[in-house]
Amino acid sequence: MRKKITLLFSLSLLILTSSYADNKKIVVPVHLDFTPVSATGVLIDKNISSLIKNPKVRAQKNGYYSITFSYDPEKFSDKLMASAIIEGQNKETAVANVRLANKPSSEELLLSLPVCAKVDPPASLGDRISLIENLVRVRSEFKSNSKEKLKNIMNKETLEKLEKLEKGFGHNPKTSLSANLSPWELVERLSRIANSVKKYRTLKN
Amino acid sequence: MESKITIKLVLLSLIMIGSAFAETSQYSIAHDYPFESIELPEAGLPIKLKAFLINSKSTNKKVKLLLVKDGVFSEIYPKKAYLNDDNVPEYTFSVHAPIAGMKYKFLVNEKNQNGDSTITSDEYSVARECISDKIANSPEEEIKIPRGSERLSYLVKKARTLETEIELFAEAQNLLTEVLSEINGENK
Repeated sequence: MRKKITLLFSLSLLILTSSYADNKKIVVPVHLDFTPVSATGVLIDKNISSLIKNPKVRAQKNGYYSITFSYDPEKFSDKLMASAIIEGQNKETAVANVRLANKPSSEELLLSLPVCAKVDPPASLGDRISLIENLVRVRSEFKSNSKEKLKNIMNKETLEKLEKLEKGFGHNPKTSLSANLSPWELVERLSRIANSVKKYRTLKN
Repeated sequence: MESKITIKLVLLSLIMIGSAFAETSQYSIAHDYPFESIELPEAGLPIKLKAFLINSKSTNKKVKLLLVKDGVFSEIYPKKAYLNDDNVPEYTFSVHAPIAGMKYKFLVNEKNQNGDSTITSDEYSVARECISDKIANSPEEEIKIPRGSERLSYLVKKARTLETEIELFAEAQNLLTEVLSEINGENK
């Protein structure tokens, strides 16, 4: 009897392990401007779609989070796509970009890139430290002035117009537009608007 | 008499086929890939990508740039198109440098008597080996200015970051002026 139970136990363990080994892990990266409290993984295939409850949510750098869950690849085709729905404490929700389950997403590739190594300045600059301090001061003032100038142009009325354009063109930005965004993000957002307006004009003519 | 008419008809149809062919598929798109001679500028700074039409003199073709930058797809329309010094139609596209990398190709769509035709260029790509620490760190992050040997390193980095940020604010202002003049109807 004891032998039978041991055998059954070993068999069930074996089945459990093999089914776990067959499962494939998928990581869905998402950028959030709130702290997530719960998430649901989403699998979309030709005929079936499934929701995976309680996937692992891990904070990465720069506001990125990774949502990890497992699935059985035998149940889905190789065109399987994955996403995730994330909820915050104050009922904020976000949907991660849909990605192909078998290919790394662009965010994953981006996150896997290392930060560039620090380049030490030439030692000869050592005796010109006060000049560099002055340069930093002048450039800081110049930056503040440029930002202030931009803030004046991006007044309430202009911001409303720009946000209306973003909404109309379906850009779905994660944060509202303002001169306080990082200059890189500001360029990205404005260039997308400029390009969409140009496209609209071209197609209209 | 009959053979003369036949020859004329054959010639005429050959010319017609030839001209249709010349207008639709005899031209091609070339690109002067710039990243062999220049490095990718800091993320967000402008880059000019040029496409040339070979065997065509038209600057009115609907040339567009299909771009996947940092995983996001967009269709870009040319900033300007003109016959350059070599009498070749040159279409200039303005894009902004990616954080990690981008892939792109040029495409011409046109309608003619044979239906729609599409001509595409080769696919080009450029990728960084690492992400600039200017992007990796929060832009408004305030760090206490270190003392001693770290001080020089910090100040040089700060001066370089400020230089890029000033350039990006100037670019944001250019884009804003462009968008506002478009929506206020000045560029109609």
